[in-house]
Amino acid sequence: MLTTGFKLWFGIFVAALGAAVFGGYTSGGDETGPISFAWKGTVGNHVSYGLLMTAAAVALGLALFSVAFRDGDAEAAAELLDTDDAPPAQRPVGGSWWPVFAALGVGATAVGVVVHPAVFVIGICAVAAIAVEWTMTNWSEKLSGDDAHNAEHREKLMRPVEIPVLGAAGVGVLVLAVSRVLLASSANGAVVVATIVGVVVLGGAVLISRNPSLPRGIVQLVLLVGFVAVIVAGIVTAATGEREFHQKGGDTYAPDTQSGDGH
Amino acid sequence: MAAGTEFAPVEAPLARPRTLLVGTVFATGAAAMFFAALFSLYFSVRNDAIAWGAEWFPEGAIELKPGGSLMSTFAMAAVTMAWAHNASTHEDRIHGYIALGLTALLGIAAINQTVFYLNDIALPIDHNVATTLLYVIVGAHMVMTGIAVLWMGLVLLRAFGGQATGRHQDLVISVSIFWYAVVAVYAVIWLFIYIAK
Amino acid sequence: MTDTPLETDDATALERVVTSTDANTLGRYWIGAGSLTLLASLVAGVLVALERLDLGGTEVFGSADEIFQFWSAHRVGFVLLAIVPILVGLGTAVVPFQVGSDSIAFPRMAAFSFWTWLIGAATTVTGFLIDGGLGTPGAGGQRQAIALTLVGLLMVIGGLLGATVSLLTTIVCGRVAGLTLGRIPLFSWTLLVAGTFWLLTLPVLAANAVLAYVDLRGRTAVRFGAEEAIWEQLSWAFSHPQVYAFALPLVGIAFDIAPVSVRSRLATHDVVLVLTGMLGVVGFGAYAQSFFDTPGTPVMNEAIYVVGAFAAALVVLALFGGLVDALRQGVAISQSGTGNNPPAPMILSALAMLLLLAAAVVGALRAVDPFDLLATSATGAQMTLTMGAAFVGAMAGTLWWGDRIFGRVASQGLGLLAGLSAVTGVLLVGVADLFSGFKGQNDFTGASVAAAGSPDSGVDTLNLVAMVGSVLLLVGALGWFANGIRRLTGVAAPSDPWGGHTLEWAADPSAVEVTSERPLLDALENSGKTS
Repeated sequence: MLTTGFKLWFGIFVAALGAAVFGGYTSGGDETGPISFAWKGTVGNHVSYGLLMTAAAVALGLALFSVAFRDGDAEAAAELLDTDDAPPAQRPVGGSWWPVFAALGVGATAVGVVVHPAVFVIGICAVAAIAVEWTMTNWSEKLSGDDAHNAEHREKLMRPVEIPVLGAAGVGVLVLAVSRVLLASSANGAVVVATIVGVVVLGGAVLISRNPSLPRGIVQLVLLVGFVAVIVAGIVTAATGEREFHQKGGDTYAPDTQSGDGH
Repeated sequence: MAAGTEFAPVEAPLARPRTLLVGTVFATGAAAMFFAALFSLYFSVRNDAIAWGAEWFPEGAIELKPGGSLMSTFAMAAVTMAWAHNASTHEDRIHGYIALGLTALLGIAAINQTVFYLNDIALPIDHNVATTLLYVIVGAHMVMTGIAVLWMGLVLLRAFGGQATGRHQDLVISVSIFWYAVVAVYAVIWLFIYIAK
Repeated sequence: MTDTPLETDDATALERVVTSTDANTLGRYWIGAGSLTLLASLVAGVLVALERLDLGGTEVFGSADEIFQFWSAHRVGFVLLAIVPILVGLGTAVVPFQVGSDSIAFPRMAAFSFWTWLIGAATTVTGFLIDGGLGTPGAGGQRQAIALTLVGLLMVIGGLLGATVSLLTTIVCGRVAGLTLGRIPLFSWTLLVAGTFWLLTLPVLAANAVLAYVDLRGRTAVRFGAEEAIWEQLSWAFSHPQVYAFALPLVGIAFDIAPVSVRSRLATHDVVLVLTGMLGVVGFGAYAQSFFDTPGTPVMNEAIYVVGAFAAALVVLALFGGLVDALRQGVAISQSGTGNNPPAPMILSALAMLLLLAAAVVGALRAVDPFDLLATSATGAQMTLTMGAAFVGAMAGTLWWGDRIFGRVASQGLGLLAGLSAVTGVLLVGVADLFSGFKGQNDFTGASVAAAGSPDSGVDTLNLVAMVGSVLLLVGALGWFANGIRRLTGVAAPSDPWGGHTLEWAADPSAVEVTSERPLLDALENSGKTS
């Protein structure tokens, strides 16, 4: 039996194929080009022909998958599992940090391509690390039907790796970002920035430690805002470039990054 | 706490099969369209350049041997991936590990070979439109290969945790679909860029 | 650092916000963030419309390049940063309910897609604001900022694609027993069709952007990354026919609302399935890339483009006729079901279909060679009408499903007023820009009288009308946004305010036997028969 999904995607396949051939002929193709995938002859507009042909191929693939899986109907799934009812395709998974961290990693990678190679490398490392964490979370969820048991297993396995790695990564990112700010500031400005940052960090820590009843959310928010501020400052100053360094003997060192093209 | 770690209290609930597979098919279709766009633009610009009598790639810039060797690597990787698929279907864990590991290794080798090939071609990216398109297509394919290798690594990680059994074969089949797309895209690069130039 | 097993445990508010994988919550995020970018893009649109009042100089902006940056920012923002995300958000929240699934497929990936889109949107907007954007005609932008805009755009596309994969997989794999693909509610169906075409076309836009980016970052841009060439490569995604693919879910919204509003079955359900599939096909716009025209055969003059434009008009006309027929079959009801006033979502969704019909007519007129409208402001008119229709459809959708998504009641009157303002605004912009196009005004006028066509052509007045339309559209969006904010503090909503026919209105979808596309109506009719 031809399923609804098959009809939809097969219809798209036929329409795209027809449009590709029609477009191939009407845009200057010869007799054989449009019906031979341009192997024998020409097709006129290559862009429209290539895109429509590939769209047709993808739609055909979807149609075949769809009919093979009976549209993914619940009845087909139950039959495959040999159960009376199909289980849900997806159970709610609860809150997760990995999506937002992974997105930040992707963002760092993308922005790093433009701004600074170090940001790019940090982004790539973050994405790879989060991919492993994410996988382990998925893995642990399949261990049993008890969420607490699964979470416990996962933590037992991953905590000894996570804490040192995250600590080192966090320190590394902060050092890199703050050093970019200091290198971009004037000689006296760097001293001022370092002093202010030091006082703010120390003062903030003192304030938090003196108020142990402070809600966890506020502490998180302060840390998040501070962390993001340092990262953004690091990215912006990395893009701006370092200040000129006057070496002993009168030579001036002006780093390449001042050109601003990021290479 | 200790008791919780030693005894799985409740068996993991069944999941509806093929969900990951369907998602992968959609994602692979999107990846195919990305490369279709690049190839279509390549053919269009190349057709115009040749029609105007302009140079496409400089004579002798692209040697055939590295591209053919790369094709052999991908062809072998397609076979090892089929082996992994077969092993997961038959719940053969050891063969599954070996086959997936080999495929990932061949994927890394392919990335290495591509870097060598680009160094061998040694044309600047802004030499002309042909080289820009070449680097974009080959570079994008390297990224696709890298994503597939990372994915295979993650599947292996889960497999070592005991989830590459027949019940979880969707994982292996999904990564295999994406991997076959990687091989197919390379086949087009090899035929229409490296050979036909 | 580990995942919280449940969102209701001792997680802080911040943790709950950033870690949520709940489809309904993610849907709200998409809609909320999309509405903010919508307001920003409409403000850019109003500024550009103001600038067009004086074609001879620069009043609002500093240069023609700056005008171009805002002009293109308005289009990109309107389509990819606003309307499509709002529709994705509506789908993310509503589709799992409609197919009877407890969750969207790949919920973490759905959350990842949202955050990626959000970071991408922020990067794109930043790129535009720091003298970047998608190139300028005078090559006066900052290359670094243009590169930033392009990578932002790539993240936006990636986020939208990820969300689309989640949605499509939910529709295919998440349905309850009995709910075949042919029986799913039409909003889910149109998302399935539209999502398929988003998967087929957004990667093409990504490929264009990657090519432009790589070339831009080379020592010398050879062709694709030249500043004056970037927009031309990407512009197909923001014009006819691609905009139909983006706006397609509005058809599903209209056809889900109409039969319930008039308490009747949709006799033409299967026909609508086919017609929406056809509209998706004619909305495949990735092929129409004029930048890569072979000399002598411009793609927009080719038969395929012209046939597609007319086919789109016929398909939309048929769909509009089907909607009118559906509305005629029943008696309009009020929200409470006691009066005869048609509900606001029904009015707005019908008006959205009317706008889509107007857009399709403009699209067809634009393809007629003797009118010579291809490079004129008729292009902008067609885009505004189509995406404006999608916006009005989304307004209707949020009024219709808002009680289910947010659990709180909004003002239907304010929603209707905002919608009518938006409809009027879209119509004014569309009609004025179409007539300006007939008078020879270019799509991008910049600070150039020459771009406005022949002297004394009267485009000044038409541009004034378009500016008024832009302001009304912005006012409508503001009203919609304000209504959304009011909803957050509104009273608790009833579980089924409309007497819905489909699973999203069922208290327990697993208890409903599905034997047709309207299972709740079946249950109601069966209970009536047995009693």
